[in-house]
Amino acid sequence: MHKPSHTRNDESLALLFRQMRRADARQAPAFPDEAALSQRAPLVRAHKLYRTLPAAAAALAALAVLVLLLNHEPDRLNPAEQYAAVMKASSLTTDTLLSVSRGTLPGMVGLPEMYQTETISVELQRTH
Amino acid sequence: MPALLEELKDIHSDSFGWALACCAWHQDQAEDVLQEAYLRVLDGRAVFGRKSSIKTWFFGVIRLVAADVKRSHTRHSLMKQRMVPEILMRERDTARQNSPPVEALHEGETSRQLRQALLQLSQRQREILHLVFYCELTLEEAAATVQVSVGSARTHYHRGKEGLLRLLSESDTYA
Repeated sequence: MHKPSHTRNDESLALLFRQMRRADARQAPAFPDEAALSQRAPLVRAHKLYRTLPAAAAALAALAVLVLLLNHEPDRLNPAEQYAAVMKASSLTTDTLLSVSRGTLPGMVGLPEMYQTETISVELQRTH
Repeated sequence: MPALLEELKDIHSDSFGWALACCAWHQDQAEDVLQEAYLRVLDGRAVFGRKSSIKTWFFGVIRLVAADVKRSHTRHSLMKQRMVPEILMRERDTARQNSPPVEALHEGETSRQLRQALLQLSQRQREILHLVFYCELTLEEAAATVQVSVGSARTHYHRGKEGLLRLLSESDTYA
Protein backbone atom coordinates (compact mmCIF):
# COMPACT_ATOMS: atom_id res chain seq x y z
CA MET A 1 0.00 0.00 0.00
CA HIS A 2 1.42 3.31 -1.06
CA LYS A 3 0.46 6.30 0.98
CA PRO A 4 1.56 9.51 -0.74
CA SER A 5 4.35 11.24 1.10
CA HIS A 6 2.97 14.13 3.10
CA THR A 7 4.45 17.57 2.82
CA ARG A 8 3.30 20.86 4.27
CA ASN A 9 1.27 21.44 1.10
CA ASP A 10 -0.35 18.05 1.47
CA GLU A 11 -1.31 18.76 5.05
CA SER A 12 -2.85 22.06 4.05
CA LEU A 13 -4.75 20.43 1.25
CA ALA A 14 -5.89 17.65 3.56
CA LEU A 15 -7.17 20.31 5.94
CA LEU A 16 -9.19 21.95 3.16
CA PHE A 17 -10.61 18.61 2.10
CA ARG A 18 -11.54 17.79 5.69
CA GLN A 19 -13.43 21.07 5.90
CA MET A 20 -15.26 20.19 2.69
CA ARG A 21 -15.97 16.75 4.06
CA ARG A 22 -17.53 18.20 7.20
CA ALA A 23 -19.62 20.61 5.10
CA ASP A 24 -20.78 17.78 2.84
CA ALA A 25 -21.60 15.57 5.80
CA ARG A 26 -24.01 18.20 7.09
CA GLN A 27 -26.02 18.11 3.88
CA ALA A 28 -25.82 14.37 3.30
CA PRO A 29 -29.21 12.70 3.03
CA ALA A 30 -30.07 10.09 5.62
CA PHE A 31 -29.11 6.54 4.86
CA PRO A 32 -32.19 4.82 3.40
CA ASP A 33 -33.80 2.90 6.26
CA GLU A 34 -34.99 -0.67 6.09
CA ALA A 35 -38.62 0.43 5.61
CA ALA A 36 -37.71 2.42 2.52
CA LEU A 37 -35.64 -0.47 1.21
CA SER A 38 -38.39 -2.99 1.88
CA GLN A 39 -40.79 -0.78 -0.09
CA ARG A 40 -38.47 -1.30 -3.01
CA ALA A 41 -38.52 -5.08 -2.55
CA PRO A 42 -41.49 -5.72 -4.90
CA LEU A 43 -39.77 -3.59 -7.52
CA VAL A 44 -36.59 -5.56 -7.01
CA ARG A 45 -38.47 -8.83 -7.44
CA ALA A 46 -40.11 -7.44 -10.57
CA HIS A 47 -36.72 -6.35 -11.84
CA LYS A 48 -35.32 -9.84 -11.28
CA LEU A 49 -38.31 -11.28 -13.13
CA TYR A 50 -37.82 -8.91 -16.03
CA ARG A 51 -34.15 -9.81 -16.16
CA THR A 52 -35.07 -13.49 -16.73
CA LEU A 53 -37.49 -12.68 -19.56
CA PRO A 54 -34.93 -12.47 -22.39
CA ALA A 55 -33.41 -15.81 -21.35
CA ALA A 56 -36.86 -17.40 -21.14
CA ALA A 57 -37.78 -16.03 -24.57
CA ALA A 58 -34.54 -17.37 -26.06
CA ALA A 59 -35.14 -20.80 -24.50
CA LEU A 60 -38.69 -20.85 -25.85
CA ALA A 61 -37.50 -19.95 -29.34
CA ALA A 62 -34.84 -22.69 -29.21
CA LEU A 63 -37.48 -25.21 -28.10
CA ALA A 64 -39.78 -24.18 -30.93
CA VAL A 65 -36.99 -24.63 -33.49
CA LEU A 66 -36.16 -28.04 -32.02
CA VAL A 67 -39.77 -29.21 -32.19
CA LEU A 68 -40.02 -27.94 -35.75
CA LEU A 69 -36.91 -29.84 -36.78
CA LEU A 70 -38.00 -33.08 -35.11
CA ASN A 71 -41.48 -33.03 -36.63
CA HIS A 72 -40.27 -32.17 -40.08
CA GLU A 73 -41.73 -34.62 -42.68
CA PRO A 74 -39.60 -35.44 -45.71
CA ASP A 75 -40.88 -34.01 -48.94
CA ARG A 76 -43.13 -36.31 -50.93
CA LEU A 77 -41.51 -37.78 -54.02
CA ASN A 78 -42.62 -36.63 -57.38
CA PRO A 79 -44.81 -39.46 -58.86
CA ALA A 80 -42.92 -39.30 -62.13
CA GLU A 81 -39.59 -39.69 -60.36
CA GLN A 82 -41.00 -42.47 -58.19
CA TYR A 83 -42.18 -44.35 -61.29
CA ALA A 84 -38.84 -43.93 -62.98
CA ALA A 85 -37.05 -45.21 -59.89
CA VAL A 86 -39.20 -48.32 -59.75
CA MET A 87 -38.69 -48.99 -63.38
CA LYS A 88 -34.95 -48.66 -63.10
CA ALA A 89 -34.71 -50.85 -60.02
CA SER A 90 -34.80 -54.16 -62.02
CA SER A 91 -34.09 -54.53 -65.66
CA LEU A 92 -37.08 -55.94 -67.46
CA THR A 93 -36.11 -56.76 -70.96
CA THR A 94 -37.89 -58.64 -73.70
CA ASP A 95 -35.26 -61.38 -73.59
CA THR A 96 -35.74 -62.06 -69.94
CA LEU A 97 -39.51 -62.20 -70.43
CA LEU A 98 -39.16 -64.78 -73.21
CA SER A 99 -36.61 -67.01 -71.50
CA VAL A 100 -39.05 -69.44 -69.97
CA SER A 101 -37.95 -72.86 -68.80
CA ARG A 102 -39.91 -76.06 -69.03
CA GLY A 103 -40.49 -76.06 -65.33
CA THR A 104 -42.12 -72.70 -65.53
CA LEU A 105 -44.74 -73.70 -68.04
CA PRO A 106 -45.21 -77.44 -67.55
CA GLY A 107 -48.44 -77.50 -69.53
CA MET A 108 -46.59 -76.63 -72.66
CA VAL A 109 -44.21 -79.57 -72.61
CA GLY A 110 -45.93 -80.86 -75.72
CA LEU A 111 -44.68 -77.99 -77.72
CA PRO A 112 -41.00 -78.59 -77.62
CA GLU A 113 -40.24 -76.41 -80.54
CA MET A 114 -41.49 -73.44 -78.59
CA TYR A 115 -38.79 -73.94 -76.00
CA GLN A 116 -35.92 -74.67 -78.22
CA THR A 117 -33.11 -72.42 -77.45
CA GLU A 118 -30.80 -73.81 -80.03
CA THR A 119 -30.34 -71.98 -83.20
CA ILE A 120 -33.30 -72.55 -85.41
CA SER A 121 -32.47 -73.62 -88.87
CA VAL A 122 -33.55 -71.54 -91.78
CA GLU A 123 -35.74 -74.39 -92.98
CA LEU A 124 -37.49 -74.68 -89.72
CA GLN A 125 -38.10 -70.97 -89.73
CA ARG A 126 -39.64 -71.26 -93.15
CA THR A 127 -41.79 -74.17 -92.02
CA HIS A 128 -43.20 -72.12 -89.24
CA MET B 1 -27.45 -8.43 2.55
CA PRO B 2 -28.21 -6.76 5.94
CA ALA B 3 -24.52 -7.05 6.88
CA LEU B 4 -23.53 -5.40 3.61
CA LEU B 5 -26.05 -2.61 4.20
CA GLU B 6 -24.59 -2.06 7.65
CA GLU B 7 -21.15 -1.68 6.11
CA LEU B 8 -22.51 0.72 3.51
CA LYS B 9 -24.20 2.68 6.25
CA ASP B 10 -20.83 3.19 7.91
CA ILE B 11 -19.39 4.79 4.80
CA HIS B 12 -22.59 6.61 3.79
CA SER B 13 -21.22 10.08 4.40
CA ASP B 14 -18.08 9.44 2.35
CA SER B 15 -20.20 7.82 -0.34
CA PHE B 16 -22.29 10.96 -0.59
CA GLY B 17 -19.13 13.08 -0.80
CA TRP B 18 -17.85 10.88 -3.60
CA ALA B 19 -21.21 11.04 -5.38
CA LEU B 20 -21.02 14.84 -5.14
CA ALA B 21 -17.55 14.81 -6.67
CA CYS B 22 -18.71 12.51 -9.47
CA CYS B 23 -21.65 14.83 -10.20
CA ALA B 24 -19.59 18.06 -10.17
CA TRP B 25 -21.22 18.89 -6.80
CA HIS B 26 -24.78 18.95 -8.05
CA GLN B 27 -26.52 17.90 -4.88
CA ASP B 28 -29.80 16.65 -6.39
CA GLN B 29 -27.95 14.62 -8.97
CA ALA B 30 -25.58 13.23 -6.33
CA GLU B 31 -28.51 12.12 -4.17
CA ASP B 32 -30.11 10.40 -7.16
CA VAL B 33 -26.84 8.71 -8.04
CA LEU B 34 -26.31 7.49 -4.49
CA GLN B 35 -29.89 6.19 -4.31
CA GLU B 36 -29.46 4.37 -7.61
CA ALA B 37 -26.17 2.88 -6.38
CA TYR B 38 -27.89 1.53 -3.27
CA LEU B 39 -30.66 0.07 -5.44
CA ARG B 40 -28.15 -1.63 -7.70
CA VAL B 41 -26.62 -3.26 -4.65
CA LEU B 42 -30.05 -4.22 -3.34
CA ASP B 43 -31.38 -5.79 -6.53
CA GLY B 44 -28.15 -7.60 -7.31
CA ARG B 45 -27.05 -5.53 -10.29
CA ALA B 46 -23.92 -4.66 -8.31
CA VAL B 47 -22.41 -7.58 -6.43
CA PHE B 48 -19.61 -7.24 -3.92
CA GLY B 49 -17.06 -9.92 -4.81
CA ARG B 50 -14.88 -9.24 -1.72
CA LYS B 51 -11.91 -8.75 -4.07
CA SER B 52 -11.29 -5.26 -2.71
CA SER B 53 -12.43 -3.19 0.23
CA ILE B 54 -16.13 -2.35 0.35
CA LYS B 55 -15.28 1.34 0.03
CA THR B 56 -13.29 0.83 -3.18
CA TRP B 57 -16.00 -1.39 -4.62
CA PHE B 58 -18.94 0.84 -3.72
CA PHE B 59 -17.17 3.98 -4.90
CA GLY B 60 -16.67 2.19 -8.22
CA VAL B 61 -20.42 1.51 -8.35
CA ILE B 62 -21.18 5.17 -7.63
CA ARG B 63 -18.78 6.26 -10.34
CA LEU B 64 -20.43 3.98 -12.90
CA VAL B 65 -23.92 5.19 -11.95
CA ALA B 66 -22.77 8.81 -12.20
CA ALA B 67 -21.33 8.10 -15.66
CA ASP B 68 -24.65 6.54 -16.71
CA VAL B 69 -26.55 9.54 -15.40
CA LYS B 70 -24.17 11.89 -17.17
CA ARG B 71 -24.63 10.02 -20.45
CA SER B 72 -28.39 10.11 -20.01
CA HIS B 73 -28.34 13.83 -19.31
CA THR B 74 -26.09 14.42 -22.31
CA ARG B 75 -28.52 12.60 -24.53
CA HIS B 76 -31.63 14.27 -23.21
CA SER B 77 -30.57 17.80 -22.47
CA LEU B 78 -27.42 18.82 -24.24
CA MET B 79 -28.35 22.46 -23.96
CA LYS B 80 -28.77 22.18 -20.21
CA GLN B 81 -25.35 20.59 -19.89
CA ARG B 82 -23.81 23.45 -21.84
CA MET B 83 -25.33 25.89 -19.42
CA VAL B 84 -23.77 24.31 -16.31
CA PRO B 85 -20.12 25.27 -16.89
CA GLU B 86 -21.18 28.81 -17.71
CA ILE B 87 -23.06 29.04 -14.43
CA LEU B 88 -20.08 27.64 -12.53
CA MET B 89 -17.64 30.04 -14.19
CA ARG B 90 -19.91 32.98 -13.40
CA GLU B 91 -20.12 31.78 -9.80
CA ARG B 92 -16.34 31.46 -9.65
CA ASP B 93 -15.79 34.97 -11.01
CA THR B 94 -18.20 36.40 -8.47
CA ALA B 95 -16.46 34.46 -5.71
CA ARG B 96 -13.06 35.74 -6.82
CA GLN B 97 -14.26 39.32 -6.74
CA ASN B 98 -15.82 38.96 -3.31
CA SER B 99 -13.46 36.47 -1.69
CA PRO B 100 -12.27 37.59 1.73
CA PRO B 101 -8.90 36.44 3.20
CA VAL B 102 -8.65 32.75 3.99
CA GLU B 103 -8.70 33.27 7.75
CA ALA B 104 -12.08 34.92 7.54
CA LEU B 105 -13.61 32.37 5.23
CA HIS B 106 -16.44 30.33 6.53
CA GLU B 107 -15.93 26.58 6.29
CA GLY B 108 -18.63 26.34 3.63
CA GLU B 109 -17.08 29.16 1.68
CA THR B 110 -13.67 27.46 1.74
CA SER B 111 -15.30 24.28 0.53
CA ARG B 112 -17.00 26.14 -2.26
CA GLN B 113 -13.73 27.63 -3.45
CA LEU B 114 -12.03 24.27 -3.21
CA ARG B 115 -14.81 22.75 -5.31
CA GLN B 116 -14.45 25.47 -7.92
CA ALA B 117 -10.71 24.89 -8.10
CA LEU B 118 -11.24 21.15 -8.38
CA LEU B 119 -13.69 21.68 -11.22
CA GLN B 120 -10.95 23.31 -13.24
CA LEU B 121 -8.79 20.21 -13.05
CA SER B 122 -9.22 17.24 -15.34
CA GLN B 123 -11.75 14.65 -14.25
CA ARG B 124 -9.07 12.06 -13.46
CA GLN B 125 -7.00 14.48 -11.39
CA ARG B 126 -10.12 15.59 -9.53
CA GLU B 127 -11.14 12.01 -8.82
CA ILE B 128 -7.73 10.91 -7.61
CA LEU B 129 -7.26 13.95 -5.36
CA HIS B 130 -10.73 13.53 -3.92
CA LEU B 131 -10.21 9.85 -3.18
CA VAL B 132 -6.81 10.42 -1.59
CA PHE B 133 -7.46 13.58 0.41
CA TYR B 134 -11.19 13.46 1.06
CA CYS B 135 -11.81 9.73 1.34
CA GLU B 136 -8.32 9.00 2.65
CA LEU B 137 -7.73 6.11 0.30
CA THR B 138 -4.27 4.96 -0.71
CA LEU B 139 -3.12 5.54 -4.28
CA GLU B 140 -3.64 1.84 -5.01
CA GLU B 141 -7.22 2.00 -3.77
CA ALA B 142 -7.85 5.23 -5.67
CA ALA B 143 -6.42 3.67 -8.82
CA ALA B 144 -8.64 0.62 -8.40
CA THR B 145 -11.70 2.81 -7.87
CA VAL B 146 -11.23 4.83 -11.04
CA GLN B 147 -9.83 1.81 -12.89
CA VAL B 148 -6.44 3.16 -13.90
CA SER B 149 -2.94 1.83 -13.21
CA VAL B 150 -1.16 2.90 -10.04
CA GLY B 151 1.47 4.68 -12.13
CA SER B 152 -1.19 6.64 -13.96
CA ALA B 153 -2.92 7.45 -10.66
CA ARG B 154 0.36 8.71 -9.24
CA THR B 155 0.85 11.00 -12.25
CA HIS B 156 -2.69 12.34 -11.93
CA TYR B 157 -2.13 12.82 -8.21
CA HIS B 158 1.04 14.88 -8.58
CA ARG B 159 -0.14 16.96 -11.52
CA GLY B 160 -3.53 17.47 -9.93
CA LYS B 161 -1.98 18.57 -6.67
CA GLU B 162 0.26 21.08 -8.42
CA GLY B 163 -2.67 22.44 -10.38
CA LEU B 164 -4.88 22.66 -7.33
CA LEU B 165 -2.24 24.46 -5.26
CA ARG B 166 -1.73 26.94 -8.08
CA LEU B 167 -5.46 27.57 -8.46
CA LEU B 168 -5.97 27.95 -4.73
CA SER B 169 -3.06 30.38 -4.49
CA GLU B 170 -4.62 32.44 -7.25
CA SER B 171 -7.92 32.52 -5.41
CA ASP B 172 -6.28 33.25 -2.03
CA THR B 173 -7.96 30.23 -0.48
CA TYR B 174 -4.66 28.53 0.10
CA ALA B 175 -2.41 30.55 2.37
